[in-house]
Amino acid sequence: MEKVTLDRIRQLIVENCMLKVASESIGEETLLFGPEGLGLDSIDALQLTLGIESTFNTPIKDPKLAIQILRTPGTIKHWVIRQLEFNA
Amino acid sequence: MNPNWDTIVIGGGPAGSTTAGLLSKGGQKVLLLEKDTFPRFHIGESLIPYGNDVLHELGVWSKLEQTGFMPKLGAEFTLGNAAGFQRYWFGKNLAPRYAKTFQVERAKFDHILLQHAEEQGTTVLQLAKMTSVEVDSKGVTVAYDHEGASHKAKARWIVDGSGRTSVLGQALKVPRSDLGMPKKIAVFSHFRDVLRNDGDAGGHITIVRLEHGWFWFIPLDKDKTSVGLVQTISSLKSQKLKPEESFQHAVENNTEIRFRMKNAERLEAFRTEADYTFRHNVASGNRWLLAGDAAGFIDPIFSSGVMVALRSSQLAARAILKADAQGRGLSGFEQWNYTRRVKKMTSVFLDMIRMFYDRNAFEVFMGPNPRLDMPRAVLNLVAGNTDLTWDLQWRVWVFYTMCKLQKYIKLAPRLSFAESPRRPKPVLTT
Repeated sequence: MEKVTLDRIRQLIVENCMLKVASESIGEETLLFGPEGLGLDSIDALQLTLGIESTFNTPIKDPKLAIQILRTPGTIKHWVIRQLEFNA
Repeated sequence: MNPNWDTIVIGGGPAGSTTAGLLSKGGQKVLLLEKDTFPRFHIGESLIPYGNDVLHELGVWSKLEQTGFMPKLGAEFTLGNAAGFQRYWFGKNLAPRYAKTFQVERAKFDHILLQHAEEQGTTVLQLAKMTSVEVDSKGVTVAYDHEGASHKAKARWIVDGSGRTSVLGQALKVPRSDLGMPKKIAVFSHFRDVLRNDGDAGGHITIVRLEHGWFWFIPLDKDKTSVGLVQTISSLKSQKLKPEESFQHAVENNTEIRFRMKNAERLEAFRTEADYTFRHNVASGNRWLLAGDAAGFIDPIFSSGVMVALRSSQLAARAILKADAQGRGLSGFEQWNYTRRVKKMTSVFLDMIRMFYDRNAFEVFMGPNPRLDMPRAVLNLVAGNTDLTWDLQWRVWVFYTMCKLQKYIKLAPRLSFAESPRRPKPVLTT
């Protein structure tokens, strides 16, 4: 099983949302949505959700939950680690 | 023993020993009566940085560092389903003296403070129980039992640091209010091998908000973690479970709690505290003051208890030293001002506590808007800053306004407390 690291999460964000920034420039607490953060949109969110699911085998089925989980790279890591513990 | 004192302090917890320590340091002859024998267990194990100043003034900070209490560099909040996470670092945006505080096992912490008061010159009597008190415009007469005999002591001042029991508040029949808060119950214990955060966040307090209630995780030392569940008494009753059963049930049914507790081993019996919210309408008379929990206690959620105890005791000691130097009691204005300032501390927390228990407001708390520098304002609240400068005050007002509006307009993402469905366990075939 793949290890959940901040680097891996950042890489997933850059790949799935086709960002033109270096993944190292994204901080653990950088907001993914909104003008103060990376400014991702709902298509990006969907892509990222699928990317997380296929990488870690952790589906996010509830869109409300997805917004919570995808707030920052840190919140993604936090959630995925716990899912892997109990649900993988 | 000499029956004449400058000040008599009731209770040897942080409020009592801080008042006594500062008064002794100021040259007073102080008698402190403690009904228990120290060290003894007490709940309220997390400090917040705005109490640090008082610990420095007392001269006890370096002792705390040497004792090896867990350094606390911040606080974090998450949900039972582990979706959503907000971490604060005191070192970001606060003055360096507030960058760190401690998680403390109260048996040790309170004992250090009490011994420190003794070193400053306070006469400490343990297993000394106040039986009656008379207060007049010149001072007080206290009767107490100690070592199987009844004694009397007189003083010009009395400070009640007896905690939520508030023996003086009761004796003087000071009116009190429950502040309209629903009655709650906390069930808690100490555990070994609770999962810790990595790195510097290892000393953070973790608050896990459930739909109906919340958990605290307070790392006390290398091995020991304090874990507690708080919920309304009505919520507990509706589950038809005993407090400790409700605790276990929550551990099994919330991803975040289960994750942290998966290897945990309980070290002591569960304890409970219930129906703890109250505040005295008045905290001072011309010869008496209520300090710390004796003045009022709202809720454990933001760890304000010890901070309010330290800061109110500092105010009480200053008020006494000033008036005593002029050979008088506290003026009407000074009494009103002491009450006002202590109430202000608890009121700042009362607002936050109401926010935390309100689902809509909590959504704003978990997603503070970075555009208005909102996270910095919230950090100040979490750190216990109750004297907000104007640039923080207006942000806090905006924050609470957003909390109120969130019910009608989505200003922060709606939170879901739903658990992801668990996959069935693989069936073992033989």
